[in-house]
Amino acid sequence: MKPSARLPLFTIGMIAINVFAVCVAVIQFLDIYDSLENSRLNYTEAAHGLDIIGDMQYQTQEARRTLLYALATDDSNLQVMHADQSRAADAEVAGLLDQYEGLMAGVREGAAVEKLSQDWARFLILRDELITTMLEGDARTAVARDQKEGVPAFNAVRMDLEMMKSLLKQNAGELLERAGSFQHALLRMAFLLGTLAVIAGVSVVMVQSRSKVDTLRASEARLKEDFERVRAEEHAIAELLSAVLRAATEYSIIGTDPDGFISVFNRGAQLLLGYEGEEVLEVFKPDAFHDPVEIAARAAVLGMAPGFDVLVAAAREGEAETREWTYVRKDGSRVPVTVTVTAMRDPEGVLLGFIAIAADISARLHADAELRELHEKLLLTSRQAGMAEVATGVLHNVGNVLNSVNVSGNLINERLRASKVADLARVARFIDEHRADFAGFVTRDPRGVMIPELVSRVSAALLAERDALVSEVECVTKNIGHIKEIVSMQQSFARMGGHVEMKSVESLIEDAVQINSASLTRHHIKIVKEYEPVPDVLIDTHKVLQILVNLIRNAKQALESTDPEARRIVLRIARKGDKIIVIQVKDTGMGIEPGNLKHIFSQGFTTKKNGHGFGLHSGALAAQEMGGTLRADSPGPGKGAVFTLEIPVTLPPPVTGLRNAGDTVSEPALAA
Amino acid sequence: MDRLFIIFAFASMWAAGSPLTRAEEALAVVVNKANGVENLTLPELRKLCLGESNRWDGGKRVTVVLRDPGQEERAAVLRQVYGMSEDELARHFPQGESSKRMQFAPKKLSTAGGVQRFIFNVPGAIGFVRVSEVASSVKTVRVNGCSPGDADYPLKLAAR
Repeated sequence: MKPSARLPLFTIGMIAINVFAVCVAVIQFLDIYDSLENSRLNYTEAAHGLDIIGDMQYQTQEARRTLLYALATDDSNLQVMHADQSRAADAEVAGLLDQYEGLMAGVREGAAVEKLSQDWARFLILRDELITTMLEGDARTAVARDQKEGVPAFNAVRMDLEMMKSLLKQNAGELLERAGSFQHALLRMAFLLGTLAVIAGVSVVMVQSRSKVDTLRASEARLKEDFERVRAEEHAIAELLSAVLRAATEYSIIGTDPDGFISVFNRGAQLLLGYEGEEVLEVFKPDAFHDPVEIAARAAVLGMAPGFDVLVAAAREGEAETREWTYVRKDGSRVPVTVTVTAMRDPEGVLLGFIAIAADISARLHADAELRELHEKLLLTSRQAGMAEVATGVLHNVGNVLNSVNVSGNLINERLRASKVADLARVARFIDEHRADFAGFVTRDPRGVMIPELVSRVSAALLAERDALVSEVECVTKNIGHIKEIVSMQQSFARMGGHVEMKSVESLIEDAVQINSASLTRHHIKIVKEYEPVPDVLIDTHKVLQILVNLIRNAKQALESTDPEARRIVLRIARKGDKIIVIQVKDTGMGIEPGNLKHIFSQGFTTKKNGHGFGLHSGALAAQEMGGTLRADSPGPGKGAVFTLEIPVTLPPPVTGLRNAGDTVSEPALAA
Repeated sequence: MDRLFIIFAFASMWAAGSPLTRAEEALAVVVNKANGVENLTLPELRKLCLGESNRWDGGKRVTVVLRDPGQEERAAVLRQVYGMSEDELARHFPQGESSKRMQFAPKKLSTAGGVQRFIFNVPGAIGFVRVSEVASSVKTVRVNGCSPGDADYPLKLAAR
């Protein structure tokens, strides 16, 4: 229940009812008052009416009396005078009747007035005739007629007036009575109004007091709720505090006054330092628990005398200071700790003391030591793993080169098998057989005649053979040199250094193409060169060569499944600013799935049937070792791929743009 | 002194002149307004006054109203209409209950106002009033076809 919300409605309702009642009562009161006033007015009118009737009685009597006077004389002068008087009274009566009718218009005496008017008119007619008769001199007739008709006619008028009078009196009596009853009603209404006012007042007071009580109850309930809540909160806080304190057994908390004397020494501190609270409280300063040597060293750094102030120097400045210290326990043993010291201040900023919260870090230090050891072990393991990786790389690269060597070996083998040396041996045998008659044999024998030509052809063939073999052997030598370089690179890697020399980037690419030339030729792959002229740079040639050989071979493999006419590899050299050389190997081959792009440099990742997932991985590593990057891009499967090697070098400023791409298409050099 | 004299002189002139003025004034014959008669010849008037014709055309009784004996208007009427003296008139309308003519003897009223009030009250009444005193409550009748202002009008106070 909400009294405060219900109360105004109740109050408003009560007030509305009271106002309504008072309004009704007031209207009623006014009505009655109006009626009373009307009654009074009517009564006044009735009284006035009675006056008029009185006057009419007098004037009718006068008219009658003067007529009688006239009848009683013979003197024409008197007769005329009385007749005039009678007429004058008659005129008065007519005026009074008008007045009376105006006053009593619409009241129930109307009928009586009507009757009076008729009777009076009848009397007047009679009177006029009597006057005429009398004035004509026939007084006797006139008197006789008056006795016979005049008296009853006038009595009728008198009765009418009496009737009107009594009716009016009755009416006035009723009006008076009604006015009295209205007065009573008014009194009752006044009493009712008064009572209503009292009831309204009382009910308002009741409502107010009730609302006060309700409000009081509501606020009491709220206070109770608040109190309960505050108690609950206090309880919760106490719980929290005790939980914190329990948790604080893991931490040593030492509080001091501004001078440094210990005022708080919690359970954690007791456990850590081996002192009981009463041993230290207000006796020691916290520096007593510290290694004096550390205190002295810190004091020297801060430029102050050793002591408590060394510990709180930063805290005094308003900073919380956390520092590693060594606590000396009561039993003399030492324990490494981190101590956080803060100043305690009241809201006005007045220093209340300091608080030092210390945590035993011996376990952490132990863990650190273990971690360090583990790290070393890991380091060793990773070194071994790295060596294995390096070995795999070396073998891979050596394998690649050996492939070329093998091709060259096979070529040499085939050449040697098809060698013209056998022809030369046959010529030598002929010469040996005809050693005695060599001149004759050469001139007469038809075979001998062919010998000089044969010798000449064989020698030419042998020369060609020699050239081809020399070329192949050079290739082999180069490849072997490359292998040596790979091996020495590995050695240099072991020494954390590469084989860096001044070299033309172009020639490096040419070497890489050369290494792969046999298979490029075999697969009818065109090489497009788009070389921006760059000067010779200081570069790790073997790493670059290893990367490029790999990239070109990958490109070649990517093109194997495509239309032989469309197989192309674009090789680009460009410079990016003054310090980066960019080498791109772009093919029109099978492309790379977007999902594979991010794994392509991971060790062991391959999409090739016989792949090891090592070439690109080692290439990326090599690029990384040079401080550069190797990046792969592909618009998608079937749309080719671009591998971009960026190597930081020292370059002079760029001179021109790209050498034209289209006009440098050439066949790769073929081994003869 | 001079002023007193002038006032006296004027008063004397007024006192001397007024009989002359009065003597010439016409005497109007007046009837009740309800009476239809417009003109009467002097003989007709005489008959009415003597009670010889005592009903009007409508049947109303004729009542003649004169002034009191000794008054100028009465004397003028006696002389010019009745042609009688007071005694002759008294003899013409003898006193007594048996006298039938007595009913029609002229009424005597002391003022012109009284005469006219009487005529006002009695529909068949006829009377004589100086022209200057005629009220609106009565009707003036021509005599011999002449109105009281006309030169030939027969009834005048001055006619001696």
